[in-house]
Amino acid sequence: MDHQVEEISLIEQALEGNREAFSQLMHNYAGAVYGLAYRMLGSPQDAEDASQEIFLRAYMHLARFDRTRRFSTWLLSIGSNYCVDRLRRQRYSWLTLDDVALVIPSSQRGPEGKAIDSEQREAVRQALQSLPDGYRLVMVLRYWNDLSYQEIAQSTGLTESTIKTRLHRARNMMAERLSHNGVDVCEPEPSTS
Amino acid sequence: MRTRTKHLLDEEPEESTFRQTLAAFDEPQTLDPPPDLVARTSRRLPSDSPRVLMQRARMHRLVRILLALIILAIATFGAWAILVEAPMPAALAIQLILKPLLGTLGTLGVPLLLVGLAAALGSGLLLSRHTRTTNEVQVST
Repeated sequence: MDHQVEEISLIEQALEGNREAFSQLMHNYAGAVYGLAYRMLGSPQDAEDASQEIFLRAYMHLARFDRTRRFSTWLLSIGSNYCVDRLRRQRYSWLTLDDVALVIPSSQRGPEGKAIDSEQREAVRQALQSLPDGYRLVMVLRYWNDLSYQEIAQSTGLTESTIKTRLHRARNMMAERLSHNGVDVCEPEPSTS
Repeated sequence: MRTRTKHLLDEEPEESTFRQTLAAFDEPQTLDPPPDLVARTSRRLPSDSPRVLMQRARMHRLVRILLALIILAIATFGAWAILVEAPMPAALAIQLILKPLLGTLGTLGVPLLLVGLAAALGSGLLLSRHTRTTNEVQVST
Protein backbone atom coordinates (compact mmCIF):
# COMPACT_ATOMS: atom_id res chain seq x y z
CA MET A 1 0.00 0.00 0.00
CA ASP A 2 2.82 2.39 0.98
CA HIS A 3 4.50 1.54 -2.28
CA GLN A 4 1.40 2.56 -4.23
CA VAL A 5 1.04 5.82 -2.31
CA GLU A 6 4.69 6.61 -2.95
CA GLU A 7 4.26 5.74 -6.61
CA ILE A 8 1.22 8.00 -7.02
CA SER A 9 3.17 10.80 -5.36
CA LEU A 10 6.06 10.29 -7.81
CA ILE A 11 3.61 10.34 -10.73
CA GLU A 12 2.06 13.58 -9.44
CA GLN A 13 5.48 15.20 -9.18
CA ALA A 14 6.47 13.94 -12.64
CA LEU A 15 3.27 15.39 -14.09
CA GLU A 16 4.36 18.80 -12.83
CA GLY A 17 7.64 18.38 -14.68
CA ASN A 18 9.82 16.98 -11.88
CA ARG A 19 12.32 14.91 -13.86
CA GLU A 20 13.90 13.47 -10.72
CA ALA A 21 10.56 11.92 -9.80
CA PHE A 22 10.24 10.38 -13.25
CA SER A 23 13.82 9.12 -13.03
CA GLN A 24 12.88 7.39 -9.77
CA LEU A 25 9.94 5.73 -11.54
CA MET A 26 12.31 4.65 -14.31
CA HIS A 27 14.71 3.20 -11.72
CA ASN A 28 11.86 1.19 -10.21
CA TYR A 29 10.76 -0.30 -13.53
CA ALA A 30 13.94 -0.35 -15.61
CA GLY A 31 14.41 -4.08 -14.98
CA ALA A 32 10.86 -5.01 -15.97
CA VAL A 33 10.86 -2.85 -19.09
CA TYR A 34 14.35 -3.88 -20.18
CA GLY A 35 13.56 -7.56 -19.55
CA LEU A 36 10.40 -7.36 -21.65
CA ALA A 37 12.23 -5.58 -24.49
CA TYR A 38 15.20 -7.97 -24.39
CA ARG A 39 13.03 -11.09 -24.50
CA MET A 40 10.82 -9.68 -27.23
CA LEU A 41 13.53 -8.23 -29.47
CA GLY A 42 16.35 -10.67 -28.73
CA SER A 43 19.36 -8.37 -28.54
CA PRO A 44 20.78 -6.16 -25.77
CA GLN A 45 21.26 -3.19 -28.13
CA ASP A 46 17.67 -3.31 -29.38
CA ALA A 47 16.41 -3.81 -25.84
CA GLU A 48 18.27 -0.76 -24.55
CA ASP A 49 17.04 1.41 -27.40
CA ALA A 50 13.48 0.13 -26.99
CA SER A 51 13.56 0.72 -23.21
CA GLN A 52 14.48 4.35 -23.79
CA GLU A 53 11.65 4.78 -26.30
CA ILE A 54 9.15 3.11 -23.96
CA PHE A 55 10.06 5.44 -21.08
CA LEU A 56 9.91 8.47 -23.39
CA ARG A 57 6.44 7.48 -24.55
CA ALA A 58 5.37 6.92 -20.96
CA TYR A 59 6.57 10.42 -20.04
CA MET A 60 4.78 12.03 -22.98
CA HIS A 61 1.50 10.24 -22.20
CA LEU A 62 1.76 10.31 -18.42
CA ALA A 63 -1.15 12.75 -18.15
CA ARG A 64 -3.40 10.06 -19.64
CA PHE A 65 -2.47 7.48 -16.99
CA ASP A 66 -5.56 6.19 -15.20
CA ARG A 67 -4.79 6.11 -11.44
CA THR A 68 -7.18 3.21 -10.89
CA ARG A 69 -4.80 0.98 -12.84
CA ARG A 70 -1.40 -0.27 -11.76
CA PHE A 71 1.44 1.83 -13.15
CA SER A 72 3.46 -1.28 -13.98
CA THR A 73 0.62 -2.70 -16.10
CA TRP A 74 0.21 0.60 -17.92
CA LEU A 75 3.96 0.86 -18.55
CA LEU A 76 4.18 -2.73 -19.78
CA SER A 77 1.24 -2.13 -22.12
CA ILE A 78 3.23 0.71 -23.72
CA GLY A 79 6.22 -1.65 -23.87
CA SER A 80 4.19 -4.49 -25.41
CA ASN A 81 2.75 -2.25 -28.12
CA TYR A 82 6.11 -0.72 -28.88
CA CYS A 83 7.92 -4.09 -29.17
CA VAL A 84 5.23 -5.68 -31.35
CA ASP A 85 5.15 -2.58 -33.57
CA ARG A 86 8.93 -2.54 -33.86
CA LEU A 87 9.10 -6.24 -34.77
CA ARG A 88 6.46 -5.66 -37.43
CA ARG A 89 8.37 -2.71 -38.87
CA GLN A 90 11.66 -4.65 -38.85
CA ARG A 91 10.00 -7.44 -40.78
CA TYR A 92 8.62 -5.19 -43.51
CA SER A 93 11.37 -2.64 -43.90
CA TRP A 94 14.71 -2.58 -45.62
CA LEU A 95 17.93 -1.33 -44.09
CA THR A 96 18.29 2.45 -44.10
CA LEU A 97 20.78 4.78 -42.47
CA ASP A 98 18.20 5.29 -39.72
CA ASP A 99 18.23 1.57 -38.97
CA VAL A 100 22.01 1.60 -38.75
CA ALA A 101 21.69 4.21 -35.99
CA LEU A 102 19.56 1.75 -34.04
CA VAL A 103 22.34 -0.81 -33.69
CA ILE A 104 25.01 1.50 -32.34
CA PRO A 105 25.96 -0.27 -29.12
CA SER A 106 25.89 1.31 -25.71
CA SER A 107 29.14 2.66 -24.36
CA GLN A 108 28.83 0.28 -21.43
CA ARG A 109 28.29 -3.44 -21.69
CA GLY A 110 25.54 -4.39 -19.27
CA PRO A 111 25.30 -7.51 -17.16
CA GLU A 112 22.91 -8.99 -19.72
CA GLY A 113 25.94 -9.82 -21.86
CA LYS A 114 27.30 -12.02 -19.11
CA ALA A 115 23.87 -13.46 -18.40
CA ILE A 116 23.43 -14.94 -21.84
CA ASP A 117 26.73 -16.78 -21.45
CA SER A 118 24.83 -19.36 -19.48
CA GLU A 119 24.16 -22.23 -21.84
CA GLN A 120 20.86 -23.19 -20.25
CA ARG A 121 19.48 -19.70 -20.34
CA GLU A 122 20.60 -19.38 -23.94
CA ALA A 123 18.52 -22.47 -24.73
CA VAL A 124 15.46 -20.82 -23.16
CA ARG A 125 16.18 -17.59 -24.99
CA GLN A 126 16.37 -19.39 -28.32
CA ALA A 127 13.17 -21.34 -27.66
CA LEU A 128 11.42 -18.10 -26.72
CA GLN A 129 12.71 -16.33 -29.82
CA SER A 130 11.39 -19.11 -32.03
CA LEU A 131 7.80 -18.42 -30.92
CA PRO A 132 5.50 -16.19 -33.00
CA ASP A 133 5.54 -12.57 -31.69
CA GLY A 134 2.03 -12.69 -30.22
CA TYR A 135 2.76 -15.93 -28.33
CA ARG A 136 6.15 -14.69 -27.11
CA LEU A 137 4.57 -11.53 -25.72
CA VAL A 138 2.04 -13.35 -23.53
CA MET A 139 4.72 -15.82 -22.36
CA VAL A 140 7.08 -13.03 -21.30
CA LEU A 141 4.34 -11.06 -19.55
CA ARG A 142 3.09 -14.17 -17.73
CA TYR A 143 6.29 -15.92 -16.68
CA TRP A 144 8.94 -13.22 -16.62
CA ASN A 145 6.89 -10.16 -15.67
CA ASP A 146 4.56 -12.25 -13.52
CA LEU A 147 1.31 -10.59 -14.65
CA SER A 148 -2.13 -12.08 -14.05
CA TYR A 149 -4.38 -12.97 -16.98
CA GLN A 150 -6.39 -9.83 -16.31
CA GLU A 151 -3.28 -7.65 -16.35
CA ILE A 152 -2.05 -9.27 -19.57
CA ALA A 153 -5.47 -8.58 -21.07
CA GLN A 154 -5.18 -4.91 -20.05
CA SER A 155 -1.66 -4.69 -21.46
CA THR A 156 -2.32 -6.36 -24.78
CA GLY A 157 -5.99 -5.74 -25.47
CA LEU A 158 -6.58 -9.49 -25.89
CA THR A 159 -9.37 -11.41 -24.19
CA GLU A 160 -8.50 -13.74 -21.31
CA SER A 161 -9.53 -16.84 -23.26
CA THR A 162 -7.26 -15.83 -26.16
CA ILE A 163 -4.42 -15.34 -23.69
CA LYS A 164 -4.99 -18.78 -22.18
CA THR A 165 -5.09 -20.38 -25.61
CA ARG A 166 -1.89 -18.64 -26.69
CA LEU A 167 -0.16 -19.61 -23.45
CA HIS A 168 -1.24 -23.21 -23.85
CA ARG A 169 0.14 -23.44 -27.38
CA ALA A 170 3.30 -21.48 -26.55
CA ARG A 171 4.05 -23.69 -23.53
CA ASN A 172 3.79 -26.78 -25.72
CA MET A 173 6.02 -25.27 -28.41
CA MET A 174 8.64 -24.21 -25.89
CA ALA A 175 8.63 -27.51 -24.00
CA GLU A 176 9.08 -29.31 -27.31
CA ARG A 177 12.03 -27.12 -28.29
CA LEU A 178 13.66 -27.30 -24.87
CA SER A 179 13.39 -31.09 -24.82
CA HIS A 180 15.63 -31.14 -27.89
CA ASN A 181 18.37 -29.63 -25.72
CA GLY A 182 18.73 -32.84 -23.79
CA VAL A 183 17.16 -31.67 -20.55
CA ASP A 184 14.54 -33.90 -19.02
CA VAL A 185 11.49 -31.79 -19.73
CA CYS A 186 8.14 -32.66 -18.24
CA GLU A 187 6.02 -34.18 -21.01
CA PRO A 188 4.08 -31.42 -22.76
CA GLU A 189 0.39 -31.77 -23.55
CA PRO A 190 -0.22 -32.40 -27.24
CA SER A 191 -1.47 -29.30 -29.01
CA THR A 192 -5.19 -29.33 -29.77
CA SER A 193 -4.95 -26.97 -32.73
CA MET B 1 -12.06 -37.09 -25.16
CA ARG B 2 -10.09 -33.86 -25.49
CA THR B 3 -11.87 -30.77 -26.73
CA ARG B 4 -10.45 -27.59 -28.21
CA THR B 5 -11.18 -25.68 -24.99
CA LYS B 6 -9.99 -28.30 -22.49
CA HIS B 7 -6.84 -26.28 -21.75
CA LEU B 8 -8.98 -23.38 -20.51
CA LEU B 9 -10.35 -25.60 -17.75
CA ASP B 10 -7.30 -27.55 -16.58
CA GLU B 11 -4.53 -25.05 -17.13
CA GLU B 12 -3.24 -25.13 -13.55
CA PRO B 13 -1.39 -28.48 -13.77
CA GLU B 14 -0.01 -27.51 -17.15
CA GLU B 15 1.15 -24.19 -15.81
CA SER B 16 2.93 -25.70 -12.82
CA THR B 17 4.58 -28.28 -15.07
CA PHE B 18 5.85 -25.50 -17.29
CA ARG B 19 7.15 -23.53 -14.31
CA GLN B 20 9.07 -26.65 -13.24
CA THR B 21 10.52 -26.89 -16.73
CA LEU B 22 11.63 -23.26 -16.61
CA ALA B 23 13.15 -23.82 -13.17
CA ALA B 24 15.19 -26.69 -14.62
CA PHE B 25 16.71 -24.10 -16.94
CA ASP B 26 17.34 -21.65 -14.11
CA GLU B 27 14.54 -19.39 -15.33
CA PRO B 28 12.68 -17.07 -14.94
CA GLN B 29 15.44 -14.72 -13.88
CA THR B 30 15.33 -10.97 -13.80
CA LEU B 31 17.70 -9.17 -16.12
CA ASP B 32 19.64 -6.21 -14.83
CA PRO B 33 19.27 -3.26 -17.19
CA PRO B 34 22.40 -1.42 -18.39
CA PRO B 35 23.59 0.78 -15.51
CA ASP B 36 23.35 3.98 -17.55
CA LEU B 37 19.89 3.32 -18.99
CA VAL B 38 18.03 5.72 -16.69
CA ALA B 39 20.64 8.46 -17.04
CA ARG B 40 20.64 8.18 -20.83
CA THR B 41 16.85 8.25 -20.98
CA SER B 42 16.64 11.20 -18.57
CA ARG B 43 18.81 13.22 -20.93
CA ARG B 44 16.30 12.58 -23.73
CA LEU B 45 13.21 13.64 -21.78
CA PRO B 46 11.42 16.69 -23.20
CA SER B 47 11.93 19.88 -21.20
CA ASP B 48 8.15 20.43 -20.85
CA SER B 49 6.06 18.67 -18.24
CA PRO B 50 3.72 15.82 -19.33
CA ARG B 51 0.70 18.07 -18.65
CA VAL B 52 2.05 20.74 -21.03
CA LEU B 53 2.88 18.07 -23.63
CA MET B 54 -0.66 16.73 -23.45
CA GLN B 55 -2.18 20.21 -23.77
CA ARG B 56 0.00 20.87 -26.79
CA ALA B 57 -0.96 17.54 -28.39
CA ARG B 58 -4.63 18.34 -27.77
CA MET B 59 -4.17 21.76 -29.38
CA HIS B 60 -2.48 20.20 -32.44
CA ARG B 61 -5.33 17.74 -32.79
CA LEU B 62 -7.86 20.56 -32.56
CA VAL B 63 -6.03 22.59 -35.24
CA ARG B 64 -5.95 19.54 -37.53
CA ILE B 65 -9.69 18.98 -37.09
CA LEU B 66 -10.39 22.69 -37.71
CA LEU B 67 -8.29 22.69 -40.89
CA ALA B 68 -10.08 19.57 -42.15
CA LEU B 69 -13.44 21.23 -41.44
CA ILE B 70 -12.42 24.41 -43.28
CA ILE B 71 -11.28 22.43 -46.33
CA LEU B 72 -14.51 20.43 -46.25
CA ALA B 73 -16.57 23.63 -46.01
CA ILE B 74 -14.73 25.20 -48.97
CA ALA B 75 -15.20 22.06 -51.05
CA THR B 76 -18.89 21.88 -50.18
CA PHE B 77 -19.35 25.58 -50.98
CA GLY B 78 -17.50 25.13 -54.27
CA ALA B 79 -19.60 22.14 -55.26
CA TRP B 80 -22.77 24.02 -54.38
CA ALA B 81 -21.58 27.06 -56.37
CA ILE B 82 -20.95 24.90 -59.44
CA LEU B 83 -24.32 23.22 -59.16
CA VAL B 84 -26.35 26.44 -58.83
CA GLU B 85 -23.91 28.58 -60.85
CA ALA B 86 -23.79 31.23 -58.12
CA PRO B 87 -22.41 34.60 -59.36
CA MET B 88 -20.40 35.42 -56.17
CA PRO B 89 -16.66 36.22 -56.64
CA ALA B 90 -15.61 33.67 -53.97
CA ALA B 91 -17.72 31.02 -55.60
CA LEU B 92 -16.23 31.88 -58.98
CA ALA B 93 -12.72 31.47 -57.60
CA ILE B 94 -13.53 28.06 -56.22
CA GLN B 95 -15.21 27.13 -59.48
CA LEU B 96 -12.00 27.98 -61.31
CA ILE B 97 -10.15 25.47 -59.13
CA LEU B 98 -12.80 22.77 -59.09
CA LYS B 99 -13.91 22.85 -62.73
CA PRO B 100 -10.63 21.48 -64.18
CA LEU B 101 -10.74 18.71 -61.57
CA LEU B 102 -14.28 17.83 -62.53
CA GLY B 103 -13.25 18.04 -66.18
CA THR B 104 -10.46 15.54 -65.55
CA LEU B 105 -12.93 13.29 -63.78
CA GLY B 106 -15.15 13.40 -66.85
CA THR B 107 -12.29 12.79 -69.31
CA LEU B 108 -10.28 10.11 -67.55
CA GLY B 109 -13.12 8.42 -65.80
CA VAL B 110 -13.74 7.52 -62.22
CA PRO B 111 -11.59 4.34 -62.09
CA LEU B 112 -8.42 6.18 -63.11
CA LEU B 113 -9.10 8.92 -60.60
CA LEU B 114 -9.64 6.35 -57.88
CA VAL B 115 -6.29 4.73 -58.73
CA GLY B 116 -4.65 8.16 -58.46
CA LEU B 117 -6.35 8.79 -55.14
CA ALA B 118 -5.19 5.41 -53.82
CA ALA B 119 -1.64 6.15 -54.97
CA ALA B 120 -1.73 9.57 -53.27
CA LEU B 121 -3.05 8.03 -50.05
CA GLY B 122 -0.41 5.28 -50.17
CA SER B 123 2.39 7.78 -50.67
CA GLY B 124 1.09 9.85 -47.78
CA LEU B 125 0.99 6.77 -45.55
CA LEU B 126 4.52 5.73 -46.51
CA LEU B 127 5.78 9.27 -45.92
CA SER B 128 4.15 9.46 -42.49
CA ARG B 129 5.59 6.04 -41.55
CA HIS B 130 9.03 7.10 -42.70
CA THR B 131 8.79 10.36 -40.74
CA ARG B 132 7.67 8.49 -37.62
CA THR B 133 10.52 5.98 -37.92
CA THR B 134 13.02 8.78 -38.41
CA ASN B 135 11.77 10.57 -35.30
CA GLU B 136 11.97 7.40 -33.25
CA VAL B 137 15.55 6.56 -34.13
CA GLN B 138 17.01 9.97 -33.40
CA VAL B 139 19.17 9.35 -30.39
CA SER B 140 20.46 12.38 -28.55
CA THR B 141 23.45 11.31 -26.55
